[in-house]
Amino acid sequence: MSFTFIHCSDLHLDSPLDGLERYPGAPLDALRGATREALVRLVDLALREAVCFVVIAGDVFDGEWRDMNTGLFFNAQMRRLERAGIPVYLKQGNHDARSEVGRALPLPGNVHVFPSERAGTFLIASPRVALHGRSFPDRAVPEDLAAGYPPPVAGAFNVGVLHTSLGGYAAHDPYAPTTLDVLRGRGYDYWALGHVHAREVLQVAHPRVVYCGNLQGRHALETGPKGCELVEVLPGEPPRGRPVAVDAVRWSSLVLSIDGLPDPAAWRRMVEVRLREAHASDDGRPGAWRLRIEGTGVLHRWLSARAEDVQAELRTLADHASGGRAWVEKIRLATRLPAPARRLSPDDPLAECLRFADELGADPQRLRAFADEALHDLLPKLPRALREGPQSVGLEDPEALAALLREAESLLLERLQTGPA
Amino acid sequence: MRFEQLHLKAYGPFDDAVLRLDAPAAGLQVVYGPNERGKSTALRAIGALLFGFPPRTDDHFGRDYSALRVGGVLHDGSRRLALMRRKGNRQTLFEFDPDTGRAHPERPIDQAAIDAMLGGIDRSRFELVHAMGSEQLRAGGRALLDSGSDLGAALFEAAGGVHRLRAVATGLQQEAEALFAPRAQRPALNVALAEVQARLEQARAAGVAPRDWQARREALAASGHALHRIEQSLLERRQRLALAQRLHDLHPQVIRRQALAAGLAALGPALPLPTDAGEQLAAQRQARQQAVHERHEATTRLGELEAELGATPVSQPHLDADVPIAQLAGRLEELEAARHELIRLQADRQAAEAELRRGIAALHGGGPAPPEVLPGVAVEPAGVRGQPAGSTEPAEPAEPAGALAARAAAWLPARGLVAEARQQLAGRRGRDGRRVAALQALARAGQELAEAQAALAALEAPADPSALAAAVSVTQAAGDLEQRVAQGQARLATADAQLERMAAALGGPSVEALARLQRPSLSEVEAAQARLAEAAAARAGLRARRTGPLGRLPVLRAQREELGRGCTAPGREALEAARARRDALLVPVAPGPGTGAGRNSEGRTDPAALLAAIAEADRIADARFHDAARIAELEALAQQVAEQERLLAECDAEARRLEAGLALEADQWGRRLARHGLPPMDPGACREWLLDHDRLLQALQERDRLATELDAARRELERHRDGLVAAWPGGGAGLPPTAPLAGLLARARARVEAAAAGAAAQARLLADLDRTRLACDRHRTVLAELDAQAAAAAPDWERLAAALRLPAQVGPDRLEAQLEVFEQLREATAAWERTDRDARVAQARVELFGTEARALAARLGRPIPGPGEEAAFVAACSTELAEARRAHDRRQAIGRAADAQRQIAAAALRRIAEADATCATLRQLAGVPDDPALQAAVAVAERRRALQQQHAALAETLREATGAAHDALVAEAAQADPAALRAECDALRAAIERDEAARDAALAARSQAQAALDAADGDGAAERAAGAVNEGLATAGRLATGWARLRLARALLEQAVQRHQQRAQGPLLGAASRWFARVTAGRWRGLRPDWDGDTQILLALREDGVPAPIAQLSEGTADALFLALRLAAIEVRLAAAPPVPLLLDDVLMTFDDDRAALALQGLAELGRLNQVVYFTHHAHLVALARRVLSPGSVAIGELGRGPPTD
Repeated sequence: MSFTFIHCSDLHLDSPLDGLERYPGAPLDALRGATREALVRLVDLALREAVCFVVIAGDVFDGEWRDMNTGLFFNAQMRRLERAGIPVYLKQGNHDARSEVGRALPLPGNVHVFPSERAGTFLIASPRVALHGRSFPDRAVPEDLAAGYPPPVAGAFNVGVLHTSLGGYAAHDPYAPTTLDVLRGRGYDYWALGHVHAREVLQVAHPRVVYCGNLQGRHALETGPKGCELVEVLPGEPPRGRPVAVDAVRWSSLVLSIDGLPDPAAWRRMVEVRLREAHASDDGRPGAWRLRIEGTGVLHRWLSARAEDVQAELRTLADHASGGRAWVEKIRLATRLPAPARRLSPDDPLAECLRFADELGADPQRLRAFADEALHDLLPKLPRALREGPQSVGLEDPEALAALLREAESLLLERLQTGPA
Repeated sequence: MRFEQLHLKAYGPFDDAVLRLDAPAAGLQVVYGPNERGKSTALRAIGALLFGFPPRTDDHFGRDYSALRVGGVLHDGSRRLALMRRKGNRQTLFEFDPDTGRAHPERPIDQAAIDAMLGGIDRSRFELVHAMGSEQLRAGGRALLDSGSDLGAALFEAAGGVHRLRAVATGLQQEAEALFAPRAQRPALNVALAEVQARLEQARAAGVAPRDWQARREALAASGHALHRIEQSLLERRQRLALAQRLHDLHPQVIRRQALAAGLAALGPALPLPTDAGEQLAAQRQARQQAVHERHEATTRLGELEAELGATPVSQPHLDADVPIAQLAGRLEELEAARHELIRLQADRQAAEAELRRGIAALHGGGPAPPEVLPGVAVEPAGVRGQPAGSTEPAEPAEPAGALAARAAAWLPARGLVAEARQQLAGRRGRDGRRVAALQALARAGQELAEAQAALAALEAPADPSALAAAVSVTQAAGDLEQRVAQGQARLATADAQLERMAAALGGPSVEALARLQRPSLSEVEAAQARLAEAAAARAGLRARRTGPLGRLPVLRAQREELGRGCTAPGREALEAARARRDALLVPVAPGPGTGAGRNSEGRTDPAALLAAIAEADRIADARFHDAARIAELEALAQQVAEQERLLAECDAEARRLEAGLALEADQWGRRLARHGLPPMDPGACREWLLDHDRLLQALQERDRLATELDAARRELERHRDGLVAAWPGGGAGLPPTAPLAGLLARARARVEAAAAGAAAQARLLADLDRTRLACDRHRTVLAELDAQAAAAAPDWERLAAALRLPAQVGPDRLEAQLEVFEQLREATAAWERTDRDARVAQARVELFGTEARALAARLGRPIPGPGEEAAFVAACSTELAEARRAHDRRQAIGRAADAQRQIAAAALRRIAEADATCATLRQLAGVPDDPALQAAVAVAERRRALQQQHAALAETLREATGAAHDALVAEAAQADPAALRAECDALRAAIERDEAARDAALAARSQAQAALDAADGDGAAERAAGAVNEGLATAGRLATGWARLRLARALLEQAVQRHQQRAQGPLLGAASRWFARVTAGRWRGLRPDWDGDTQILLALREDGVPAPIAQLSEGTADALFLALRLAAIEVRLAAAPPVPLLLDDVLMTFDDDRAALALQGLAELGRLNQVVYFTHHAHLVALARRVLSPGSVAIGELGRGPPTD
């Protein structure tokens, strides 16, 4: 008997988008409530496709968020599925393992939560499907949960639901680490994985192992389409899946190069083209764009001398290109002077600036000390969110500091050669 | 690298100009160019050659950008590069042959070739380090004066071509402080961080915590339980209240029912009387009494009616003939109308008859009478009857009008024939009319044709105007030029007037003088303005800073004074003095005079005095101990007062420094203005003056452009005058060469227009001729067609005339007259017949009425009325009939009333009998002999029945009130105590009221709990608030990054300055010291470093070796120092990098001749190592160079025309 189901994870419901600075003309309303809108679209998809069931592989709630309205909204969406007779199989991940919202919330009857003390199995009679999973008992789970999953149910389509960092994702902490071999060894047909926010098919078949990614990108590092996996199961065939984007806001990181551009007008034309392309690739969604201006060319000085104006101009261009539906998250200026301009004579005093900056860039500890001395007034005043995490300004991060030093160097050279702003 | 040649191919005012800089032995290359010769343009051209043209330039001088060309020949000791630069985006550099001047765009040269020769120096570095003008020199000198003698800054600025180092550093610092300051509130980052904090608080308050939500759910459940309990209690109490109330209500009814049952038993057995026996008895008695009365009344009235009937007689014959009388009376008005109508119709008939006779007479008069149709008719003229016109014979008796009309109708032709005749007549008249019109038009066209032919013959052949038109065209062009010349003159005059006005507004002696004026630069003025604004801001800041201490000091002093008054303890000074006295007595001192109080002459301590001193010190200490708190407060206040006084003093000192600085600045500014020959004014006004001066220069340029255009227009006009003479027919004979072009043009136009008018008239006449000929032909055709139509219609015309008994050739007028007569006759005949018929009918109606009236008289037996009396007779009969009818109706009414009275009397008699029978029946049923006994029996029966009804109703009520529990409730009610029940009910009601109040409170509590729970409805307010927090964080992050960038840049700058100083101080300071001594002609010995606190400063050594801080140098000396530092940097640079030409633009213009001579010698020496090109527009400097430098060490070139002069 053929059927379809939806595999999704990492909803992080009601966690706000990071890094978006409010400015006149920014599409404020379009970007607020993006994680909610993504969930609504997911439910719409389930109803439209009349799926057999929905699997959520963890992190419905963002653990740090404690508003009960979040849970009530989730319940309202689950009830839409309940009215259509669609069951939901939910596994709690590291973020919502101890979520107060999750604990306090009485879920609708169609939502089945995997137990946390041991792995459990839910059976669907028709089509015959067995879903195996275990919720995170706590935020940190160092052991391999998959190893303790039950054997497959004979004659049923077996789905393993796991929130895991697997073994090879250094970017993530080891949450319920396991290996592909362990997953293969369970004898299931499909592994619905969660926790990693980028979609990846780890194994195409026997079993099919898929990270579906998160439902909605929340900051500039989570770019591109986001959504769920729509899985189709045909008798006698391995399951087939395809990603379906349900994100309400599309994050993009655009590189705008000045290489080979002779003047500002040419640069503006290039920017307009790139921004229009970016908007087209967003499928008409509101966009949150990070713009990085880089490259080496004569425009470096022009850009360095009017960073604020460039920022305002880029926002305006983005507004035009997207019909007012794009929010410029950040503009990074990382251009360099052409090589001859940077090759100053060794006796030139300005060369001292370059030499000193090069020395600092090559020695992180020295750079750290230099920055501490220069920035000591501000560092204690910065809130924690600006010192660490996705919104960090990087004043304590060697790599970000090195980039900032280069910007300072460009600014200084420009001022020295043209005078104060 | 050295320049050998500069080819100004197409740049600025230059076309194919060559500047040779290749004198092989020259140490110094001097290029002389007076004002406006393009000296500055040549300098810009060098930049364009080396680095390319800027995107926008004013040096194209009307050329297309792509036409700009600058070439040159460069040499770096090993390689010679001849190249040409064009303006463009790609391959702008290519080979060039300096000997032939030919460029080779097909052989491009890479920019890298120039970059290699320059050692990697870009445009910016070249312009800052290797090119210097007088303005840069002055700016550098000022920067040295402003730098506070900072050695590192001076070396950095001189070597780096940077002369605003301090401004850059200050700018970075100020920008950073505008973003963030640790203890400030208003900078943007401080604001953003505070906003983040506020938004965090809002976000925390926006959501509903799970614990709160659970508490709300539990509160809702608890309020539901409480409500349930209250409602249960309320229900039970209400049920008990209902029962007690029912028993209380039933009790009196049960007692009443028992009393009724006892009353019934007391009345004994019931009689067989009907239930309404009482009502029947009373009704029969009343009915009988009423019937007796009515019978008596009816009998009396019957007698009165019979008497009235006998007194009312009636006429029966009139009543029998009522129909004919009424009919005739109804026709009386009709009879009168018929008589009047008859009179009118008889008059109309006579008139119609006369008309008929006139018609026949007209027929006769219009042509031969038709005797066969009208035999014996006497034809009369209209209006005369019985006597033919002109006849003397007696008239024959006239034929009756009826016979005459009959015969005339028979003679008249049929209507169809008349209609056909009218149609034929209309057709003939139409043809005749068109024929006459065609003949008239043909005659007119013939006349026009003859006139046109005559006019054409009279018209002369027109002249050909084409040559004249060409001449006019040329003249027109010349006229336009003449107008341009006039307009150009007017604009030039306007521009001159405007220039004069502007010059007057600027206070200058003349426009030319103002144009030649060596004015201060705008940047210099703006810098002074900025410094003054900065000082003003600092002054305002100082005032603001003084406000605090000034306000706080009196308050603090008053507090201290107040506190001091309440403090009795001696001050610390008194304590210390007492202790000092005590300690002094404790220490042995050498004997001698002046050993002080408390000591004897040997210097020993007087014990009493010592004890007294100790006691005094202890007393003061104790007093202070007891008043320690107040003393501490006093001391704190004293510290605060001192602090505020210190702050005030600092402000005052700073204000004095500021004022001194301002005064110095104002003095320097005044001297600068005086040097430029400008009147005293503040920098703001000076800036406006400079802007106005700029506008004057622009206006002057515009005026020159207008003058150039005017000259060109004049030359063009002269050329056109020559062409004009050639263009006129006949070589312009008769045209004065100096004639105003407008008159010339008017005459030419008149001639051309006259020629054109003749040709137009001829063409018009020829066209008229053709048109008239065509019209003649068209009219003739119409005539022929009309004749054909007349011939075709002739047979029908003749047939019609015959039918109308007219001759065959009768004309249309005769035919039409005949038709009119026929029509009149037909109408007269018809009118006579109609009036005759109507008169006969009216006569018959009058006669019929008379006959019927006479028949009525016979029937009534009345005398027969004569003719004319019928109407009066009928009217009298009608009156009599009405009277008879009224009498008859009255008798009928009396009869009906008598019958009614008889019926009433009979009915009353029947009702009396019925009443008597009913009473007899009731007596029999009651078994009583008479009516009084019957009355008593009926009363007892009614009493019994009333008791029975009350008992039954009460029983029914009790059954309804008690239902199934009737017996038990009735029994309980019978036994109940009403007073006890009332008390119980009152108690229950009070309890119920309490329960209801509790229930309302519980309901409110539950609603509140429900509302609190419903408030969490899944809304995303908290998420939005968190989004706002993140947005604030993003703003703060951006500002923090910007602040960090500025701070890092400033720190980087400080480090770079220090490192450069450490590295370059030795060689650079040595070389600069030598150059300084040279360019100041030895009045300054040199330079040396020194320390001012932690800062290393630069000192200038006077001629006598006395050092002076840089800040104390005069402006001219500071300029010389900057030049020395820059030349030293160039010199030192040669040790590490290839030479790059040094371009100097009149940097020695403010030097006196001695200094300038020594400087030129130094430049010549430097020029042997590193090419030095000195541009100047001062001829005396050229002469000075020639005088002080050997011919081999200087080469002098020239821009533009004219030799250099001394």
